[in-house]
Amino acid sequence: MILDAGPIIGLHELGAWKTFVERYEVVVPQLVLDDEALFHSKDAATGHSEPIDLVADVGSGRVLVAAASLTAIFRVASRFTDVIELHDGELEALALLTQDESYLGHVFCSADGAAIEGACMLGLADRCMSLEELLGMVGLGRRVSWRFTKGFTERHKREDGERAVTGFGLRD
Amino acid sequence: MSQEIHNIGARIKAAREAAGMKQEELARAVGFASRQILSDLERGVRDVKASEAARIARLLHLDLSSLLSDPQPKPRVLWRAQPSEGSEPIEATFLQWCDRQRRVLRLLDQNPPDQLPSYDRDLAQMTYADADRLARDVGRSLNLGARPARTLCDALESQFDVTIWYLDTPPGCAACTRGAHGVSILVPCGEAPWRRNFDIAHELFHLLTWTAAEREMSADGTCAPSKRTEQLANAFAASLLLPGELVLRELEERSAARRVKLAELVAMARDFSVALDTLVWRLHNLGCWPDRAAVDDVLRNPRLREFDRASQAGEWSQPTRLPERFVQSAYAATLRGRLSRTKLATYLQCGLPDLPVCLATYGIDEGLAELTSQDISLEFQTGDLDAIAMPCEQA
Repeated sequence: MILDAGPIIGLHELGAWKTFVERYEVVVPQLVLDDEALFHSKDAATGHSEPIDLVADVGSGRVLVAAASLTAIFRVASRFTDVIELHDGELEALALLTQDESYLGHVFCSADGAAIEGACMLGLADRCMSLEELLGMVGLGRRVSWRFTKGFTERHKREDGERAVTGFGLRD
Repeated sequence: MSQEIHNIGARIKAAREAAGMKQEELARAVGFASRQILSDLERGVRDVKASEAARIARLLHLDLSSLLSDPQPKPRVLWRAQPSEGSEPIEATFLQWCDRQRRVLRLLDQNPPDQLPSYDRDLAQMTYADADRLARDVGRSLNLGARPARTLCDALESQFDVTIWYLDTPPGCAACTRGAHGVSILVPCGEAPWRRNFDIAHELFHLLTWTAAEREMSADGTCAPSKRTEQLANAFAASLLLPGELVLRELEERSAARRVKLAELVAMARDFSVALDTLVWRLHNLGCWPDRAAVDDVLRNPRLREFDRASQAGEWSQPTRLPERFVQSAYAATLRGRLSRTKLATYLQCGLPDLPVCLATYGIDEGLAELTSQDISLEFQTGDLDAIAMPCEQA
């Protein structure tokens, strides 16, 4: 699966990262990895911050990194009109999912409403899965915050469905 | 190679040249093995990784999304004391924020508003008295009240849709821009509040006379306002922040037999939220203190300077990092599912886990906002309110 920044942070905060990457083949877009500012986990109760070291996971091969070409990411960005704007890493994930043969069967896991809706706009609704579902499928099921729930993902899939009727957000 | 890469290549080249960077310099900073890679990319004969393009964008003070979308004409920026070296990155950063604002408003189906009046006067013919009249007109229409410096920013933002960006630029290097991307002022964030107020008032003059300034610069073949225009802008700023009648009334209250203590002038400067120098020169220009040499002497007095500095401590305040309206608009776009939350964190310059805390500094409680973002259906129509029957008495 291709993981967005939100679930990576969420898995660390849940203390489930290590087991999760053992049970799934996890791919992180290069642009998500490059954005160091995204990565630290935060204890909700104490506010204490812990840095997340993805480089070590990548170095050991526990996590794979995938890079899209500039042309591929441009093709994805060009599909959207200027009424939706995603993070560069999210655009790269969508470019990989739609254009790179190695990832045409991969699932996309994000906790970002706009990213899920963007994926659905490109016809990837069936490949968007919540962290809650993914955890449950490998016996790691637990209570997660709203953004990681199946309900959150489904809500944004529905919102995209409503937009799709009018062709909102996509160029012809 | 595809037309797509050809188009992006051309945009990268234009952005690099606007930033005043050579190919070698940018190629080295990106980490390309040779300049040729960048040259090929710019000519549209080579594709690169998206992450390399993102690095290029970052080095050119652009968002990757700007490089990927239809190019916008480069707006003109007017500088007050443009830095002698290294102004390109500052200007590029300022325009990057203006572009972010434009993009965020587009996500909300809006265009950057421009409610600011235009005074298309020949600047070469304009007198200080004209600048003073213009300041009085603007002060009245903005309803700035008895202490204009204290209300100017809010009034400009709420009534004229002027966005004020406080960026990390050298002191004195304020700038402004007006066009399809909106109306914005750049103010150095490290300056004292009273200096910032003066910068904003000074830049407001340029924004009001934007058309005339552009014409003047085109005729002269320059890219900066003339010295005379700068003096007019200073006169305008002083009049706007220190309206003659208010200053004279205050002076009367603080003086005895037309004599006033220097300490009272310092207190008056703080009260009006202007620099002591600005107040003293305003008094000189209003004819209250005609002896220019005496004014110079007083302003050089080290004990007065020390007293002035000591009086500033309680009045010093830092501006918010980003304009509140920009943050509110960006957050509204996120709530509507149009701006990714991760991108919002990038715009707010914070890490994703810190976003709730960062939003809270702008008065947004993300948890509560999400609870209240549920849509409800209302039945209403716009039109003649009198024609709408009131179905029931108010409880």
